[in-house]
Amino acid sequence: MHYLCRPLVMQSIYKGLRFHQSMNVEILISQKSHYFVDGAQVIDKPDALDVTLSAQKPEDQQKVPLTELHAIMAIIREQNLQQTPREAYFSTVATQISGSVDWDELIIQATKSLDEADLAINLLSKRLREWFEWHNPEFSRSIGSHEKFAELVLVGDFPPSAMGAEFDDTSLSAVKALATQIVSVSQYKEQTREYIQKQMEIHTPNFLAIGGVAIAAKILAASGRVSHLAKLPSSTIQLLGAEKALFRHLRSGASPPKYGLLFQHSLVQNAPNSERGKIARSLANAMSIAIRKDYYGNATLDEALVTQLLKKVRV
Amino acid sequence: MKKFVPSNKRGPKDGAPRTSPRRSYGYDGFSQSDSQDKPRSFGRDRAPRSSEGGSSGGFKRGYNREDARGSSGKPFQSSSRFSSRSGSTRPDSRSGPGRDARRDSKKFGSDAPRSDNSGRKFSGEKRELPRSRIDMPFKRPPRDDASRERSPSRDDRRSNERSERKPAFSKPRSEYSRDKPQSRSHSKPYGDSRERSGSKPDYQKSARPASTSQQLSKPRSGVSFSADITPHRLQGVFTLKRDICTKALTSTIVYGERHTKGYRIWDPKRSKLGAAIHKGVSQIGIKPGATVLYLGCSTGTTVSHVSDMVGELGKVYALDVAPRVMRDLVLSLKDRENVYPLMADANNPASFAHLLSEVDVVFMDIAQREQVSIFLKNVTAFLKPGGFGLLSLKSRSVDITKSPKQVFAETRQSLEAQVTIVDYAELDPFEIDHAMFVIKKN
Repeated sequence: MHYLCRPLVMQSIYKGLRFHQSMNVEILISQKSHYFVDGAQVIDKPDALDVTLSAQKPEDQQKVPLTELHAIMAIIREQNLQQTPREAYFSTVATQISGSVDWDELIIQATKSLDEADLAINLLSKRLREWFEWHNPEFSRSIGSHEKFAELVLVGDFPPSAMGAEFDDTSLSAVKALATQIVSVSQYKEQTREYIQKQMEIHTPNFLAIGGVAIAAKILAASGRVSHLAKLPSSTIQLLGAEKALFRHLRSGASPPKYGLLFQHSLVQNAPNSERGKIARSLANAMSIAIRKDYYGNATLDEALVTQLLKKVRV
Repeated sequence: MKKFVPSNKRGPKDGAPRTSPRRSYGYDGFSQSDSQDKPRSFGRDRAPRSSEGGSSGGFKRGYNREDARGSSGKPFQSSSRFSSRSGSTRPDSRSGPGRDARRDSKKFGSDAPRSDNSGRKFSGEKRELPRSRIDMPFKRPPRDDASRERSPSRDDRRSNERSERKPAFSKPRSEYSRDKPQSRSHSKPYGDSRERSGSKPDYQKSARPASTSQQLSKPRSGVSFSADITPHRLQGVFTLKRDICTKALTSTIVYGERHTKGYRIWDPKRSKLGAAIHKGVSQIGIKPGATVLYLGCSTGTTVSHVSDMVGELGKVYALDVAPRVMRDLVLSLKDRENVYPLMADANNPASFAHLLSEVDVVFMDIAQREQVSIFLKNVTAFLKPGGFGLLSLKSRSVDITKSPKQVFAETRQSLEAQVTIVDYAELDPFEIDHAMFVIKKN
């Protein structure tokens, strides 16, 4: 049972159409606007089209005007529905779900995972330092970075400690097991960062070139979908991440924020305070052009965007 | 600026003289009083006639709108994310502590000083201490009989139903079995066993002795007997003490709901339909054997209960547009044979019309600005004449700047143009600023 035209919204099924239950009706609407009923071609007039419902017995055949076509299709649709197994609904939905995810969703998942990995490293490192400082507090205090500290604990080469206790081998290996996990998570972070970089080089090279991998990924995650991000005005991109300050400004007349996630960008960080707002604005403008270039055009890197931006901020 | 004075506060200066004593009821039913607990001295409060109704005239009252704003006169610092767009200075008490109370109290609690000098003696009355808004629990104002008739509250219904229905263990079991065999209504979903015959056995007429019921139906710890589960006024719904529940179609737990003896308890805080039933909506059209189109099914918490209600003979077409939630719905409700998932846009009925036939009920819980028009589109397209439509309206989605009552009134108007409204319930305290409209297609 095929339709070329989209079935219209059902009006009323029962339009006074005589319809025998024994009829086995098929309507095939082809591009030539011929109506085939069980293989029999019917009259095709320019002003009126008739549809013949065929049936097993010739005397049951009816000629029905086109105005009744909606009603016929409704009845057929009803029959079709009753024959549609429940599985068909599930397979349709399953196909739709599988076709709904795209590369931007994967980048966003990786970005959020990076943030969570940071939290995990912090949490585990707190415990590692707490535990290790019974053995060698001076060493723990001398290394600021958590990831480096964990690596060095694993290596095992640290100067002796005046106030540290002696740990036997099993206790040391217990501490080192925790350090192993921290190192593993930081390696995972590195891997994921590379994954995001590669994906963005493929799909959004201009956006990546202007924002840098960390900020570009965060802005993409903040907007949710690349189709949404491409439609955002640059002022929104400028303030993504500063919602609290923005709504405070809107509600109570406090001064507006100048940057959100873009604050972490090197161009903004390296600028004098008085210039930061303007630079954030130029940066956001360039980013919105870049993402549109990537999403709506072909995603090829255009150096001119970057040089234009750098010229504007007079670096 | 002249303050608005509610009509029940206006004195002889503003309107007709009042015959009843002017008492402003807060949402707890107590009369509002000033901060000092002393009998009202009329002379002190007597404001000059020319004073405006809303001014506090130096008499500090805790519940005055203006006082709630603070004397600095700064615009109210709303904590809502969706407050007005440009630094609004509109004095709106839409948020902040006690806003539910302020909104819900029929006679608004703004204590205008009683400027009508009608000579009534208030001095002898003891005024009660106001409790602070923040710690005052939510209680509805006392109901009159008319409103009790229209939609009995949960408490009313329980007492009505208990007295009407045959109590399970009011007399010893041996005597019970000798009576005329009456079907246990909660075991028959399709029969309307709520229609009782005129003659009742004697034991029903007398009050059920509390001690007996406690003795016999006292539950063991953690277990409640199925005898505690009684049918609700609505077909397919059951009552278990203060909860409502549905008879589980499958034995799996869908959203971590509580359950007992094959009945799944319906959480009104997680389900708008459950909230509406708790609020006493009288008819919903969802009953065993019905076909329901559920717009906005999300992950399927309410859909599971609707599926329980319609039973094996019924159908629920569960529609949602987002793939993420449809994924969860498909995975959790696949074993329910009467649920048919649809991933489509409710705003475009033609796109999924070929997957549906006419339905008995259209339920919609989609928070969009155009939710009323989406609802009416689908009602026109799919609802059979005489069928029920249930619209769960979120006023903040329709228009954040308008008050909920305003939005509800406008919705009522646009619905009445096309369909007949047969019931209405506001879903406080389960969902704030939500209402359920029950309509019937002509």
